[in-house]
Amino acid sequence: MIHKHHHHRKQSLRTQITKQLRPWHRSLGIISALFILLIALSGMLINHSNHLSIDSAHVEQKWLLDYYGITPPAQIDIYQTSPLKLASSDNLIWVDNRLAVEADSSIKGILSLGRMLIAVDSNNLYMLSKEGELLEKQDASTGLPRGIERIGFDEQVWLNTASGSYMADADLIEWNNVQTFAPIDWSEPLTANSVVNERASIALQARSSHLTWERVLLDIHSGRFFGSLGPWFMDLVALALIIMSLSGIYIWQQQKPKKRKRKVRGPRFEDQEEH
Amino acid sequence: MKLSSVLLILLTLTLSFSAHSKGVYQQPEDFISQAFNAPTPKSKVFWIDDEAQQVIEKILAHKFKKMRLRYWQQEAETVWILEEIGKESLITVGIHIKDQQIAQTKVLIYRESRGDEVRHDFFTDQFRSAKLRDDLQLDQHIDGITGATLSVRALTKLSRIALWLDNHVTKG
Repeated sequence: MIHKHHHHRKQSLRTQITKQLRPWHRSLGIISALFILLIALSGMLINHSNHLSIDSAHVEQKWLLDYYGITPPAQIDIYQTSPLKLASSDNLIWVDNRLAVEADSSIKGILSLGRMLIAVDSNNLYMLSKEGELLEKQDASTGLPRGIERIGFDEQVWLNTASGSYMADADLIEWNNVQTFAPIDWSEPLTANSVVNERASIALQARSSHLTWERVLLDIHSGRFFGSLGPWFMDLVALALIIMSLSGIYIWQQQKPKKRKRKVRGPRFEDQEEH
Repeated sequence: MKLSSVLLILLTLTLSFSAHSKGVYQQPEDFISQAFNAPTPKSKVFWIDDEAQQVIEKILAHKFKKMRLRYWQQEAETVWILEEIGKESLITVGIHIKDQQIAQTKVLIYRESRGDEVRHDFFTDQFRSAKLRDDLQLDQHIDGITGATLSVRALTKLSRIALWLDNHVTKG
């Protein structure tokens, strides 16, 4: 009798705890459900970001770029609009709206020459195919003069540098310091007013090249997207998930032994207790 | 306002971090003069012929679009500055070859955001004295680095290409 009574009291204590736990478990679940969904979904996407090409997909939404504080490039130059669109934004070379080359410093000029494109920054020369593939990069180690200011064409390719003018041979292998006599057709960007739309599209693309969807997903996943307190908030959500797992196991365990006892005692006893 | 300013700071941190990992460890010019222990000699031009194109594409396992390569030679020593994409960005590698074996493989410019462990000597020292076998593989095993698999692969491929090119130009 005593043993039975003790058992009954223990049972009621457990039931009381379970009763207390249930509403907590429920409200924590409801409150954190949205964020758990966010974490779980973003986590799944990040896991397969390469397969889903999320790591190479750039964000083109202006508001999102603004939100990240990504500013437009300081300098945009359009050199040609047809047949190929040739443009530069700071140190990036764009061929037909595709990022072709990330140069070491800002682009000083782009020439279209036969089947090739030639671009220069202050210390490097980039030879590209019309498809935007980098064929060769020249610098001081290959004999290119430093301090390039302009690139031009007059029978041969010319460079205007801080230390004078240089002319290339037909294969663009050697550069010789030569005095210019005839005026050279230097590569100049088109005037800004005539290519407003082109400039706007390059500005957007240059901005979007700094941000991939993978970065956004990682920031949503970690909470960083929601500001400095975001990661702490996500920690709270994680804590809620931990508490819910534990309380869930506890609640489940409270029901599990009953079922076992029912099986041992037989169905008749179970029926009686339930009614 | 506060949120956006915080994000701006975070972005600056991210950008400065990525700028940090985009490291120029040595200028190609300095690597060349260091290899020869002399001022950088005049570069030579190797025009990619059909055979070279086939070998390079076989080693790279993708198309190779360059029409010529620059290299620097001093007697039986050559230096090659080659580039290959690790995961997303180009890795510029300097390879110094002496008597048809690698004297030094060095990462000169690393632009990837991760995996730049390959620049350390503990890794690149593995290439020292490596030769090219007839099947275009190195005669030495190169241990990988966890998390830098693609960069390791890129360095190994470029070392193999440089050895083949060296063989090609010093024999011819």
